[in-house]
Amino acid sequence: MSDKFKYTAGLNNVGSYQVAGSPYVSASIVAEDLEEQISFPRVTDFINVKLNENIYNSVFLEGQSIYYISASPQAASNGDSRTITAWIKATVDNTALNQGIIIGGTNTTANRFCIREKNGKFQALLTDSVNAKSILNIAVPTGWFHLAFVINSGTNMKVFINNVQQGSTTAIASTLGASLGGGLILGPPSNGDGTYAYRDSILWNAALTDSQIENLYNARNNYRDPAFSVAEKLVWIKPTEAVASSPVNTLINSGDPDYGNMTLTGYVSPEEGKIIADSPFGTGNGELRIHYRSTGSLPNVVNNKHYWTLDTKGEEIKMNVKSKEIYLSTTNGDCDFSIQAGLTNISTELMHEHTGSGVDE
Amino acid sequence: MSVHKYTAGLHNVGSYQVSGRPFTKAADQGAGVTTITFPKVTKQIVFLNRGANDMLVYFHVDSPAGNKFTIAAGDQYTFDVKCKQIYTSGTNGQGYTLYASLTHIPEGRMYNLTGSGVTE
Repeated sequence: MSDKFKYTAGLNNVGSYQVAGSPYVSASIVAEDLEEQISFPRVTDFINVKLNENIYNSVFLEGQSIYYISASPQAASNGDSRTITAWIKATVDNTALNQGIIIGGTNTTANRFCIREKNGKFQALLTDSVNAKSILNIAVPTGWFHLAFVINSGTNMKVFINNVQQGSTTAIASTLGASLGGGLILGPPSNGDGTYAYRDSILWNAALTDSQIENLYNARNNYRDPAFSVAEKLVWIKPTEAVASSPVNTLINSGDPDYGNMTLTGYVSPEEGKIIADSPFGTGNGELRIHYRSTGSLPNVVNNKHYWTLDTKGEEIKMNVKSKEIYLSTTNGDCDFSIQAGLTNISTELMHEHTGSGVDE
Repeated sequence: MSVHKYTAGLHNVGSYQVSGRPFTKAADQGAGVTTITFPKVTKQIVFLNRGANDMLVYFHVDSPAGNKFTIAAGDQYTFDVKCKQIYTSGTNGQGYTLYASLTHIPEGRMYNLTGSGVTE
């Protein structure tokens, strides 16, 4: 008899589950729409997964003076339509005049396409040397709000706050002209005050429809690229991918030292391909899915929803399960998780892959 | 000689002492009663109500109202129970997530739960 033969506990050895296990602890982040396989060194007795943080892909600017997105934004030709959308948090000064919150052109140039604050109210202005159109007396919400300023050239201009239309008027076809005057900037003028923060500010090369505005607003917990594909983005402060038209990605290189003292928060690096910052909107749709087969090879895991989901910060699940592996995948955002498992002394070679009803059927 | 395969019985203590096999399901409550059938006898069921309204979980399709367990909106509850089916009802379309630890015991060994606390 060989003295090299070693007896080991089998998968159904009760005692292996009754004695306290050895710990297995790990914490990491699963990026949006990706999957991570965690392989345990021995068969588990239990697995405890906790969602530490939902992280949404977003970008965040805040500060007191303007941020120059581009000194030479895409000039619009006669008859072009445009939309500006942004998430904004504003602390305004009711006594000051003409503080810009979003400006296409500058606050004082003849040709402009801007939203500004005056005497505690927002104003949407569309002017050139001949014509002037405006929507006035728009109340300033508290906290974060979604603003959309739509110019459908020759037809109308509208302002939406949190998907509620604040007013509209006839737009003039030629107003945008060959020049917007100055650059496209965010924030009050350098001689103004007030504090502003911005997220996901986009200048669109089209007049977004009411339903597209609604989609953007409803995407507040979940900035996903498909929701932003309805028109070309001329200037986008959420650069996630290379786009042939310019000046996309201008934010990264466009902090104007003469103006901007806004801070870009949560920015990782251009090489990351995505900007990651915490969402200001609380709990949302960021979802960590826990399953026992890979979604890549077995579509029934997703199709038949054979997973447990964690989508609230601090939420956890303790599973009394024997397994040699577990899969974590995410949707609608990145998820920061921690995992704790109790390990038996049973070798993973004795453990089969889970399959069947409730797993992958 | 006939081929007979021994399997663990319903009262095999070890089957409940070893850790279970996973069964996971995320779904929306349908109209009326939803039946969830397990391929093996359970040892533990974790149920999370993701909807905005109460959900009822019970162990016989004809359980009276007094034998239905209420899980409030957003609440999670763990049942340490052996069974082969559970029944849920609630608002049509509201979401829930379920995790169960299954024993090796075939569901055919499990009897239908009835009687006090279940159907009376």
